[in-house]
Amino acid sequence: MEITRVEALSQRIVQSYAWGDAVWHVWGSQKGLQASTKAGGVNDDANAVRSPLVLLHGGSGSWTHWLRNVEHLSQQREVWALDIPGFGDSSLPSGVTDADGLVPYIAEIFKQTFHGKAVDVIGFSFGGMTAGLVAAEHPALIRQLILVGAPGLGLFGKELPMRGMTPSMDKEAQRQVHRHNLNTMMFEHPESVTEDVIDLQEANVSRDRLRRRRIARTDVLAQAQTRWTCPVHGVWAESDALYTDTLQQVPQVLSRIASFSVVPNAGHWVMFENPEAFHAAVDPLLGH
Amino acid sequence: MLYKFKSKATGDLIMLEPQGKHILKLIGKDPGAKGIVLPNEMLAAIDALNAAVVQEELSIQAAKDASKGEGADGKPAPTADGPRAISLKQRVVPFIDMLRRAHAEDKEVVWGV
Repeated sequence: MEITRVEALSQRIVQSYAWGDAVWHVWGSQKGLQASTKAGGVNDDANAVRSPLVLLHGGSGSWTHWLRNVEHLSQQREVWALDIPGFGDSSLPSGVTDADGLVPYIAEIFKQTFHGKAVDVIGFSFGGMTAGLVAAEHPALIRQLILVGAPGLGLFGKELPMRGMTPSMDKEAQRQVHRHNLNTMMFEHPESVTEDVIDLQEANVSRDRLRRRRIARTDVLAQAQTRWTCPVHGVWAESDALYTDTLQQVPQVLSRIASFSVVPNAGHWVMFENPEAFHAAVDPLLGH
Repeated sequence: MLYKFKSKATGDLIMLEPQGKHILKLIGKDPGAKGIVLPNEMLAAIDALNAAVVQEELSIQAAKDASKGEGADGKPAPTADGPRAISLKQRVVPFIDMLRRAHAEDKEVVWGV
């Protein structure tokens, strides 16, 4: 299984906070590199290039949203993929129900982990909206932000025809619901939804403890952009189901972004459905 | 109006009108509703954009130096643009990459078609 293989390449870090645990997976760690470099070690230039790159996953997700990206990105950077509090293996802070409530917790995690040093962040969907709110409230923590298919722009039309689960459904019926929902929202091509992808989705959805979140449908991110001080870039899929008729409005609504790139041949979960084209879009933004 | 730059070598790049016009003028193109950058024009276009980035950085530095000179109280003087201005360097990164990749594959970059 791909998740097992990729996870085995990472260092899993569990941090304890007053509110619970935050779980990171780290690839391309400098400590690991230094340990494996017998003579000379890693020089200063290499250290500079390998500055941390933080990945924030989407709603009902975990680090596995970046399954097809961490190996590529960690060739150049130390990649830190967080399970956002309330998702994956991280705890849910008491009283948090949505992205806005997560801001102080994410800020605390960043401060603790990177000792107050500003880091580059790629935030996908819910994770992009959350990162955009963090960048507005705590500008010193983020050096550069890349938003990927982020909501909160006030551009959503009617709800997508997603299906719900009922307790009476058997395993196979539940998998059919996941298949339908992944096809509806996350992917352009039905063949992208393999049995492994349904396994991944099932494992992530079952750990989602922020089920009542709502602000993605507001324009909370568009409002926040006036307080950004770091460069922010947008990378969206050409066939993002959340932006079917509104893709070209994104750079108009997000007028504070420095660039807006469109990735062909992919749906909302762009970095999973077309990783090569996604990497081609983000690599130059990251200076790779 | 938006500028949508397309190439068979890359994904699309969308720019708001003022930024799109600025970049097209920098590479010596008429910023009309439609246009094309041919592969044999791309290296010169990249050089022109890089030169404009250097020029902007020098102007910003000169403005900073000038304001430092004036500030006898030792306080940092605010820059004309303020800290939130988006630099040309940040804006042109994906466009330069688009030109590089289109040039490598000998494909044109077009807009408005």
